[in-house]
Amino acid sequence: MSSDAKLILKRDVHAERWEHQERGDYNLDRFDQEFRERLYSERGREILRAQSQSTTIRIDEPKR
Amino acid sequence: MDPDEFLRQVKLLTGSEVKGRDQVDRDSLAAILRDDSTSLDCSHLNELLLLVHKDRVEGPFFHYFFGPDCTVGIFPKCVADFQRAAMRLYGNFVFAYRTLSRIKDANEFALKVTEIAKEPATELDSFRNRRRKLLEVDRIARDLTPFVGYLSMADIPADFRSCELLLSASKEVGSEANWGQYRSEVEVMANPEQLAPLLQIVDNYRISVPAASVSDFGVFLAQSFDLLTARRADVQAVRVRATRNQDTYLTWDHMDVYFATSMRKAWEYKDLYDFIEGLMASDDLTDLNLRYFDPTQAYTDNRINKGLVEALMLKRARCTVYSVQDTDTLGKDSELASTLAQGKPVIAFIPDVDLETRAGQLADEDPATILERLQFVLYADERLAQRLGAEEYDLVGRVQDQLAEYCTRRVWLSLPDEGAASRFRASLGQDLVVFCRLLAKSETAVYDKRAQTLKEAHPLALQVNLATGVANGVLVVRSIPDCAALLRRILLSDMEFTLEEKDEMWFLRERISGCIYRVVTNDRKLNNCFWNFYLR
Repeated sequence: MSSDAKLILKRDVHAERWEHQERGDYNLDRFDQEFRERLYSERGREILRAQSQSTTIRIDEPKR
Repeated sequence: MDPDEFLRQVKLLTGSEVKGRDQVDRDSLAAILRDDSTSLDCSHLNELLLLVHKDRVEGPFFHYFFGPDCTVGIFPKCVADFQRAAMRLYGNFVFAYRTLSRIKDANEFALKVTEIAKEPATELDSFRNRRRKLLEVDRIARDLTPFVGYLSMADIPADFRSCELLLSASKEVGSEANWGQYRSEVEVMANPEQLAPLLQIVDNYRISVPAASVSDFGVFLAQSFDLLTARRADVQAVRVRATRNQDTYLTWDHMDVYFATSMRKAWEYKDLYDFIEGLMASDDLTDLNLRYFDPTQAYTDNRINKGLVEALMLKRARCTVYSVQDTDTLGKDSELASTLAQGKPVIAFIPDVDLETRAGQLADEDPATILERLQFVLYADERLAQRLGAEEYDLVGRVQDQLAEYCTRRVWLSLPDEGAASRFRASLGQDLVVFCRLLAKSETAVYDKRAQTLKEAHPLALQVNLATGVANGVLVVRSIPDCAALLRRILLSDMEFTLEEKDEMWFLRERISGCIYRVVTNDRKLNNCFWNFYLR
């Protein structure tokens, strides 16, 4: 490759938002689970769980 | 025909020089061969062969290659027919002559030449009279095909989980919160290593809707969450259908064509879908009721099983069509090599794009796709920079920056925003048109180089049938009509060849592609070493 082409290539190009691990694993559920694990902090997971439970409780409450 | 020409023809027939030429009775030869219309039967040929110290031939050999109408004049044509057959069956003239000329039994001879003796009309009948399939492939629509890939759909679960987290943060802080409070909550909920991309989503939304409040963002996230949930469901549904298709492919009793390709980006799935649709709708193929493995329609969620499935398809298909897309990868290169090593034909399709049409297609693409195309040509086209004038060079850099900025500023990566894309294209105006034309020119240069490499330069464009040692060459075509015509000829056993001797080699060149299909070298050392390991 010529040095000129490298100059264009090395410009401040758009970086991928997420770094997805490239592998031959095609299982969507596993990818989803692993991504979720990576995304949340411990506290974030607690908050999500609590919100999920409160939604469940509201749904389960008998109508008055 | 004079005696010297006859000695040359006998050398071509037997694959070796006539020894003891000084002891050949040239006067007798000259008298026999003087008149081109003199007919030759099997006994005549054998007497001529013994006159020049060569082994005689049996009846089936004479009947197949020379026939009842053989004369002195058409003897060279019959020898060339034998050479073509020898190159296709054995890749070795000496061995072919020794093997085939000594067979006395007509049935045994017929078995030896079965592969090249099929009648195209009979083959055509058998294709046309095929019964309907018990199991059909459930054809997945073009725009949904990227969902059968892993890398091509990874942004969907990533967007979905990001949206889930941001929505939870919005619920946690409530509708009255300000942006500072909201960001703090996101920082609490996110893994610090993943915080930057999450905040980028927030920032991108605020840039696109500057007056928006946290409450507005919460409404936007709830809507996005529903859309992303639906998209995830689409992926799952497509994969269920594609898994069933995989089972259908596995159970088919026969397979005609395997499509080898590597697909990572969404547009690579769509490109291959278009190519296969266009090819199979060609007049040359529609009457054949073909069965083909289309990788855009199949899915396996386990990489080991996926590899095994593809290996089985390669074994079962009669030929492979190798779609030369952007990147040469281990996957499709292995598939090409595996097919050649089995002695089956490989057609390499390398598009010969019309510059203006292609430039128009590129300009209509999603900006992220256009940027990926630029990254491809920067990687693959070594002469791109030299071709650009100073103004063009600046324009490429400028448009690249704007494309990168657009891609970075998207809120979601997996939800297309047609309105934003249209506004972006309009803002670039004529710059985008010029840019896409330069891109198309560069793509053309890359494809031309790939075609030239496969046709003329790369040693492994010819590989060896591991069972027989016969060299097997890749057949390169540049248009769908040529690809369809060649595929038809392959499947109907109706390929046409020209025979050439050049640079101490014999070449069998396929007519439609102009590519070398079989080869015999005259290098004595290589020949002896090579065939010691295959034919002894």
